[in-house]
Amino acid sequence: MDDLVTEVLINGVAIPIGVAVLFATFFSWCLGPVPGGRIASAAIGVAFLAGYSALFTWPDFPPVSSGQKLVFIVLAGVVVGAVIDLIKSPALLKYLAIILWPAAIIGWLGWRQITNLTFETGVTLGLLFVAAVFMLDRLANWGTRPSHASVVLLVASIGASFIAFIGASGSLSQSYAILAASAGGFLLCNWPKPRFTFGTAALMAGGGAFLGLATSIVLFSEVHLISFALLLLVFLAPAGAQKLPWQHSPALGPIMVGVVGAIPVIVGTAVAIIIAGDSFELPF
Amino acid sequence: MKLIKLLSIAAVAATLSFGYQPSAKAGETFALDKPHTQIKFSVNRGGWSRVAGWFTKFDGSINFDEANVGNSSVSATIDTASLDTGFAARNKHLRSPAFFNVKEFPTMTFKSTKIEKTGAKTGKMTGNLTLLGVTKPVTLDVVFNRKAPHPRNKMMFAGFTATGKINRADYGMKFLIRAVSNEVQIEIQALSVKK
Repeated sequence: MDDLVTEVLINGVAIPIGVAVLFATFFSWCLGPVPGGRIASAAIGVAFLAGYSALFTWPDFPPVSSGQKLVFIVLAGVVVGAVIDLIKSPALLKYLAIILWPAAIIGWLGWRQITNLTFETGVTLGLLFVAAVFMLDRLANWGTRPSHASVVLLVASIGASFIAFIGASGSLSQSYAILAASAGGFLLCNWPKPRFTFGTAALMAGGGAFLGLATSIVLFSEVHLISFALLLLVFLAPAGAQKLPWQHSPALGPIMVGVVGAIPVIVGTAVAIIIAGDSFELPF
Repeated sequence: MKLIKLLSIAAVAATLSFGYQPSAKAGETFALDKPHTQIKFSVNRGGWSRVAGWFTKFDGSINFDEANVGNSSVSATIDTASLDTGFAARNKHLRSPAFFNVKEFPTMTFKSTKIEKTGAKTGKMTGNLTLLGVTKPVTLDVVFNRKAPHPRNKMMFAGFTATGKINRADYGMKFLIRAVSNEVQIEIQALSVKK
């Protein structure tokens, strides 16, 4: 079991944190503080890919399963997002990405369901799309305060990891843990002093990873969706934190966002545990 | 004249070659008798013990040519959601995207490509196993147990045992690969009834 702990802690946590810090610094150092700072948030996606491939290995192309497709979604998010970030006026492209990117992700992962569409699946996919646009829009909105957006992604991913674990989806739980570590690594570079923007690369790669995993949870797992849906409230945490003291403090502001974001995580996890009841047992 | 002769020969040859159809397999066709067929798997868990499971829903047919075993063939489709290990929480985990990913890949299939006789009642069956959307060749050791009519209903039954192993990582099933063995042992007890 030591191997298992090593596998989870090294590959799933230490590698993504290290890679996120390294790449954010590297982008900034190579390209200078302005363009480098704009694409530094691509480090979240690079870190996720490093942790994911360390844990599950890099998949062949073309990918077959949703887990394999996720790698190429994040890779595309890193590349396309970084290009948009490097263009001087990315606002229109950024908002196009907020609409088109969820459609592309849900469409690719749920292609089989879309081609055999039932009313129930159609409603599920529709709600998932609306939730995804909301999530990316909020991340883009808080991106003006990069540490706030990173905290939101970090806290939401931790919550998703807990809820997926309780819902007997170990690999999805681990994947969310990798995403949390990646966002956490980027946050380390941006806290207490904000250095890099939470750009389109973070939105498309980090947000894309969150959404890809969420699509897998909705379509392919037995995770209870009400507890999972509560995590959407995490994306409103910066708005809630505005009513708290120290909201403008570079050091304490992100912590306040984390505290507010932790509330729906705790509630969602509690709901998941209550719903799982006696059926929640460690499988191995 | 020579040209006409050549054309005639070519036409006859073409007719013969295109009209040729391999003779229908000489063997008898059997369907799996589900209540008396078990498709089982087991993995090593952390070096302490083996955990076994089985599938309860499947379909399959065997074309068995006893006189010329090489002409025989086997195909089977297994409903992956029907897996059972005798422990509900573990079943749930095994059905999740981490392992069999049953909602995304509801079936796994096997189709034999080559069967060779190795002894009076033994053979090796190679075929393509498709699991999680990945197709890989697998070889199973097969024992032909018995072919005889049932004493009461007089239906012809044939029984086989097949054993083998696969590496789950080959099919992309890599979750907890250090805690739960990569090698999966397979044992199939197949009773089949003549169609």
